[in-house]
Amino acid sequence: MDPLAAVRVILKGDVVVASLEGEVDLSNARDIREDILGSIPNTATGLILDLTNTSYLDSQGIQVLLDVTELLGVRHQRIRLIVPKDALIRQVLSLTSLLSALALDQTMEDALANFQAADL
Amino acid sequence: MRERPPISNVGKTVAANVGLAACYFIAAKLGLKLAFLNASATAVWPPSGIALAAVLLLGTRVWPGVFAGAFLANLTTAGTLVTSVGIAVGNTLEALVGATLVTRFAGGRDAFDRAQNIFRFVLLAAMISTAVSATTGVTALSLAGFVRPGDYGPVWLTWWLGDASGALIIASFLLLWSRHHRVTWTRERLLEGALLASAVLIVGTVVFGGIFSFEYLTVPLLAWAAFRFGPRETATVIVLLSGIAIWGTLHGAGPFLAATQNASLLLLQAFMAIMALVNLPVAAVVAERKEAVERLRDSEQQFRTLYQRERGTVEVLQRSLLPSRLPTIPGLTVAARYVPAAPEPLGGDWYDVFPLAGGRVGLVMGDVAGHGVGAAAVMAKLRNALRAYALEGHSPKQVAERLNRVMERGEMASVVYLVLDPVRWHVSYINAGQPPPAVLEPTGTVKFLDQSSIPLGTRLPRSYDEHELDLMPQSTVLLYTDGIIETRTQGAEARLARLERAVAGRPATDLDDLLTHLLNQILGENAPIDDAALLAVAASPLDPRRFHLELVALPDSLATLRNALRQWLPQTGATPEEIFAVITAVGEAAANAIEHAYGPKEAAFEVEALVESGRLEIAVRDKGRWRTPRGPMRGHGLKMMRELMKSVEVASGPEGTMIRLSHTLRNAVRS
Repeated sequence: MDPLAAVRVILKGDVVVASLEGEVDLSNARDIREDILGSIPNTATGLILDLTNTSYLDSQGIQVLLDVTELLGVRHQRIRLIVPKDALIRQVLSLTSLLSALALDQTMEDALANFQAADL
Repeated sequence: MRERPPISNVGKTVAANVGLAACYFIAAKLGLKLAFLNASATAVWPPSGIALAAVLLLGTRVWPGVFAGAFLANLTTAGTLVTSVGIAVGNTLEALVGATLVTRFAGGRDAFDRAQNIFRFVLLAAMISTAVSATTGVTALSLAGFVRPGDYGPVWLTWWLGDASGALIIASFLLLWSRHHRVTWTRERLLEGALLASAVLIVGTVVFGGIFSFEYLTVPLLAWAAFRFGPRETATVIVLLSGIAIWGTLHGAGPFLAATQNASLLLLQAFMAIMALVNLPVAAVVAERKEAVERLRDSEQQFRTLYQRERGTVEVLQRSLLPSRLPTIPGLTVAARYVPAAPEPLGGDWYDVFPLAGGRVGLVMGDVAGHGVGAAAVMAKLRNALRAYALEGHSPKQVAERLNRVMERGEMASVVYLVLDPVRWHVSYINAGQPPPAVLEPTGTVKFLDQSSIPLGTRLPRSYDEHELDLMPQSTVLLYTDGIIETRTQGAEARLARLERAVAGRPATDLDDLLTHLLNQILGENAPIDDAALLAVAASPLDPRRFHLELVALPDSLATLRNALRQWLPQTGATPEEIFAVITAVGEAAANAIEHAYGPKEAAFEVEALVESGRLEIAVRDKGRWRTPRGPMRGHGLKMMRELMKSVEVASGPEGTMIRLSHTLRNAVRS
């Protein structure tokens, strides 16, 4: 019901593409985390999380991205995040400590390409 | 309805019979002393009244007392055993027949409380049943030779009249006193009663003692008793006057002196009986009227109390259901008015304002059909249900559909529910039967949001259509009930045009002023014919150099804070990147304040920002303590603030924590 943010999911082959639209903060981070994790079946090879329409992410939101990345790693599923070059949230995702932990792409094409590359 | 006789067991019955026999015997002996025409026939016969009253009050089981008293009195006076039995049978039958008829047709023991019943009593008990006794007694005496054949008529008449006057004068006195024995007189009333009693004694003595033998002097006394006191006192005056009159007449004085003692007494008794016959109904009517007036006053008082209680309840309900304090919504100013209808408030109108998720605000204006406590109760239900559904995040359409489901049969209400996003100046609304909300654009133009649906509670196929539109930024939204636009003299349409003229072109800088102006223009000096409510929301003017906001320490406040900052920061000249950075940093500081705010009470936190020479200084204060970050990434908030802002200071003290953020704006608005 909370209109602050929504997760929209489509399947591209055996890759889950989830689009996170809206704002993520302390009030909805937990729900968003569950929504994202709930969208990925065990059969999927991985997740492309599209943050193009994510207008705001606080530290709790970033924590969600880290949790999802870590969990998929444990499940041997891959993850790529799409953050356009001019996206404002890039400012917070570019914090030095995060760059190594998160797999960022600027476009869907890059994300899909990087996804395939990892297959090889 | 017949009351159960108060005598319920044999012992009491025997005692009552013995007591009645004794009373009857004494009264009969006194009466027989005045028997001048025939030893057994007297013009003064109080026992008939005693017997009749006794049977009415105690029931038919006291007949043996009547019989015994009559038998013994006659046996010891004149005649034989046989005549005494005959007379006693007649007397007993008289009492039983009289009581039965009175109980059946004349109100029984309460016969003297109603004028109608008094006349029936006179006919049935005083005239018909006494004929039984007179006929039986005189016939018995005739057969035994105690009455000469030529005297049958006069003796019968004496007997009958004695019984009749006794039945009327004595029975009325006994019945009235036994049914109304409580005397609750004030000091003044006691004094008046003493005056009346004195007047009765003096006038009685004057008239019947032969000083001034004019019997009609007694009439004013009886009128006094009847009008100022009541049936009981009137009957008492008649008994007293009868006593005095008998005494005077026997002493050869007074107005009733005739050829014989018997004739004198007959005249006297006839006079007294007629006085009773006339004055007792008058007294009863006066008493009835007094009682009716009293009852009317009581019921009026009761009605008034109930009415005031209901009115008070409506007012309390109404007051408690309207927001006691309008909420603070960042970026918006809210004002409301409630004008109760004259001459009395009807209730049933309500308005409401509440913040919704994402910095939006919900505005409600509703009107329940009907008035009074019932309407206020329905209004309470709808107001609470609407708030609950709205806060759960339902859209206006969903809210209206759910509200319609909580309506009971026979309930009707109109409501407009409007959700305003003050950042995008976007509204979505549903209007179920209310007048169209008005929008005053910053250009001065008035527009009406005129899409509407049927009211709530109708059993028609219900479709509540939600409408959305973008408003011109900085518009003013105005909701109102039809009490504003309806008057006795003008139709709703003309009023709508008047409302438009009243607000068009007005600056919305001061909402209170706008509402006052509107009320003056529309209502003037007149109070509305229905309760009238007004609710207005406008963008609050922003100070480009200062921002201040206090919010409850709940996670939902973060979105509100961001929305407020998004409206304010552009005024400072900050770039989109700077705005994002500041919002993110302040958001982290605020999230920290919210996470601190554990406690039994709803805590608040405060955000203050100042722009001074291109330098932005922000302080976020809470009443908790700075909590050491927990978990591997918990420190990220602080780290993010440090990377996004030029400087971050955390000052923690016993009163709480303050986080100071500062940043130099690239294109600061110089002032």
